[in-house]
Amino acid sequence: MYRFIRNAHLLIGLLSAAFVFMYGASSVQFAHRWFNVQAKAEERTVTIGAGAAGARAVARELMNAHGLDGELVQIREKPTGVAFRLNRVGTNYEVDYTAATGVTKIRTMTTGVMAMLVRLHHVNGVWHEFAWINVAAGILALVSLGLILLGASGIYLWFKLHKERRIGTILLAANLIFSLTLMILIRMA
Amino acid sequence: MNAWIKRLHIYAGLLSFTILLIFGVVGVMAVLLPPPPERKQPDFIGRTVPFAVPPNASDEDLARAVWQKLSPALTGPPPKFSIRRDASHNLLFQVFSPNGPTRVTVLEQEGQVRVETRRNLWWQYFNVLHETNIQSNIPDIRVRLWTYYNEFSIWTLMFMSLSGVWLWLVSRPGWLWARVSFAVGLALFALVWMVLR
Repeated sequence: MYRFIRNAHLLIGLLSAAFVFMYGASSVQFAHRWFNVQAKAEERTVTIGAGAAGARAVARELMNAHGLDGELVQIREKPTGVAFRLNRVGTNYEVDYTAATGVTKIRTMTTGVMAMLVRLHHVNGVWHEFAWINVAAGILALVSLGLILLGASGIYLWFKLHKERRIGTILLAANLIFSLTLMILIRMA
Repeated sequence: MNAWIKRLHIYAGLLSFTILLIFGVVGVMAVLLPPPPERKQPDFIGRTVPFAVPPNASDEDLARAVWQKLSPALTGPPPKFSIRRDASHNLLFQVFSPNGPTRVTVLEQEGQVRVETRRNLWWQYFNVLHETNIQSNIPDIRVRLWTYYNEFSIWTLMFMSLSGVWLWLVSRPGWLWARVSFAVGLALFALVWMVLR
């Protein structure tokens, strides 16, 4: 049993190490804001077919002909055409399409490494039209489940290490008393 | 030195065990939840209390004065982004606690404020706890202590992921399944990074 749990702890930990580190690093950014996470914007204008029937048709043409990709959100119908965003976590496109001429302004906003980590941290749900976000969310769910398993298996492995049992018990008890007391006090406030 | 790294790895896990479970539960819930508009929320529960509006207070000053009088539990001063006016030109603001938001409408002409609170469901409570870090503007000592615990746990999380890899490399680097596991984890991370970048 011990051997099995030890191997499982190691394998789950190694499988999720990169993601766990991502969660940790992005949490440091949330807490300290040490890095600039402003997106860098670039603008360009392209011409696609005039008279496209709505945001979905425009988005499809931009994806096929100009390499854009992402989830279609924030659609705004305008007297001259339509505006919308294509979101792809690390890169977002703001699109403004003029139906009469087909002229389309594309504002591309790209993020740096830390901003990307922060945005990955926020990925959630499997309802997205952009399937890769769903894939990422599924992986993140597995990593989260992995965290729970790592915690549980870690407790078992520690308990089996007899020489660490005394100090470990003190540390675990201190953690449980402190955290659970706070959780109850905050919830009851 | 490796014996000490292993010891610290264990101690870090024991000291942050609770919040690691919360991180895990919140992560799973975040994926299982429906899109935000379809999420069922508890209703706001309202009450009205008298309040004499100072004649020369700015909106921000007024919001702060109302917040100080009401003193909603475990909240900080109204954030600027939450202060606005409704269609009837009444001042509105919200303050947030781990237990849920409090929505306040200042009814100047009636000399009253309407206070509406919504109590978070348990998973919402865990979600707010997991994101309550030292940037929180809530002065209450219970929340301050929680933010320090959260801060500690963020660093231990990173330490454990790095030290875990190190401990593998110095103990069983040749174990094929461990190599495969680490490589698959890195590959998945690289894949997610590339397709979502």
